[in-house]
Amino acid sequence: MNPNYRLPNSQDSYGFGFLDEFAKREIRRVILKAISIPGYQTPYASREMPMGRGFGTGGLQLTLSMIGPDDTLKVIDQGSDDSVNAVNLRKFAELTCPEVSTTESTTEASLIQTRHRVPEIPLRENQVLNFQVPYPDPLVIVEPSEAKRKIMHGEGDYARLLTKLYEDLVKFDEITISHRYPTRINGHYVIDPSPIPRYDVPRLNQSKALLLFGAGREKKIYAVPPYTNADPLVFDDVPFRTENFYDADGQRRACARCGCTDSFLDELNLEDGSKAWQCSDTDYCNRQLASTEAGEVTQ
Amino acid sequence: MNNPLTTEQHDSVWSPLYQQRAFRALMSAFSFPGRRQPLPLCSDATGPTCIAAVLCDNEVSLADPDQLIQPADIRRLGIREASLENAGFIIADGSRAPDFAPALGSLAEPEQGATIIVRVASLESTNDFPLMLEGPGIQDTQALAVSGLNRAWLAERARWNRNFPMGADLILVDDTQVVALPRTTRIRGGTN
Repeated sequence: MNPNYRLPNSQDSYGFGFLDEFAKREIRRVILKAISIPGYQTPYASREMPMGRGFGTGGLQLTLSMIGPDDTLKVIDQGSDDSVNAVNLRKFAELTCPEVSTTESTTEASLIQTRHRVPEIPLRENQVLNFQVPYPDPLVIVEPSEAKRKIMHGEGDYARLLTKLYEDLVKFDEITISHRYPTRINGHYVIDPSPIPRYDVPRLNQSKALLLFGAGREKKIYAVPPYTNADPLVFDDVPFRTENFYDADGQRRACARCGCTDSFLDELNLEDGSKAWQCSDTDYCNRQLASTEAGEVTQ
Repeated sequence: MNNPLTTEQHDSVWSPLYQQRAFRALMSAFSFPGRRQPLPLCSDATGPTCIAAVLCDNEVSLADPDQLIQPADIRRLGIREASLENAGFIIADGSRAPDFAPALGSLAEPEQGATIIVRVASLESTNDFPLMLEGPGIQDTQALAVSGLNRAWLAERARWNRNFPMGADLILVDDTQVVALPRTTRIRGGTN
């Protein structure tokens, strides 16, 4: 082997989107099967990515296998465009996908990769939301064998999961799952919708945009197609509850920054020991702030 | 440090950029069953070959009983040929009634059900063959007109897909457009 040999310039680089074309083609096939079987965890050969598994490699592989020069990409981490995971993944996409635009605006994006939130602004039919999923299987807490879980999923047998929820009600008068709430898709498969808060679960139902879930470490891809029922697993007499952000007086807390009372709030611990609440979705917060400021200027 | 997609020939079905665009058309087609999606223009292939070039390689098996793909293209894709019962992908002529039983997957592995690419004469809107579609991806109902699809396909498809999650997914394609019928789509009509 000649140590001075260099590949010709045209080959001395990554292909567009880092993944090779065979990897993309396999992920594309799996995406189509995942859409055809809503909620089914379709296995795929998750590739090694230049970042640790558990840092969003599943969502990233979904994004890279479908992205093209016409796309505008938004990457969020807990609603924020500027937290570390989002910044790193966005930089990686900018590095490996020349000509792709990136944005922080939900409305401008054609592809959105997300960690643990659904954007506040309702999505459109021509947008795709790719979730980064750490644990894809909701049955793993009640059945350790994957072979048995696959049969249970196929039969739509979620009795043991419902028993777990029932035990919570008996012990605590409340289902104690705060995020990753098991959700039934199209009346059959129950999915782990990734660690989104309960607040976001109703927004999976009859979504206008395609929702794709990629679990890189667990090597699974699943989908909630547009206009598909997504029902949180509950009992007839115990309705599903979401976070309500009421204070002790029963008042809905407002965002400390933009003042809106209709978004999901993050609780912040301030230096003086007090607490503040602020929108988790930074794009939504900036938008609210800009519209109130514009309103003040015109008055 | 990267090869931008745009330096390559765009209108060839073998170029990565073409395949990315065609995949997005297919993904939209599967997301919204029954809606026609235009395939990007290409200079060197027709509908069924475009779909095969996007989805097939040497990892999958294909059955092409009606010889709709040129043997040279099959070799280029490196696809393994298989019998109709075992193939992951089937390419068929929609004008003829299906006389085979495709793979439907199993309860634990429904993704092993076949993807059937059906070449039809035209997906342009006509009153010839009005179908009403319902299911995931469709808000209320979706109308679909197909010419050149033998009606036996609908009956056979309903039989293949009667035990969800097992089933087979259809991709209808003419020269320029594509419509997907995943196994979850329920079809009414088809008689006129």
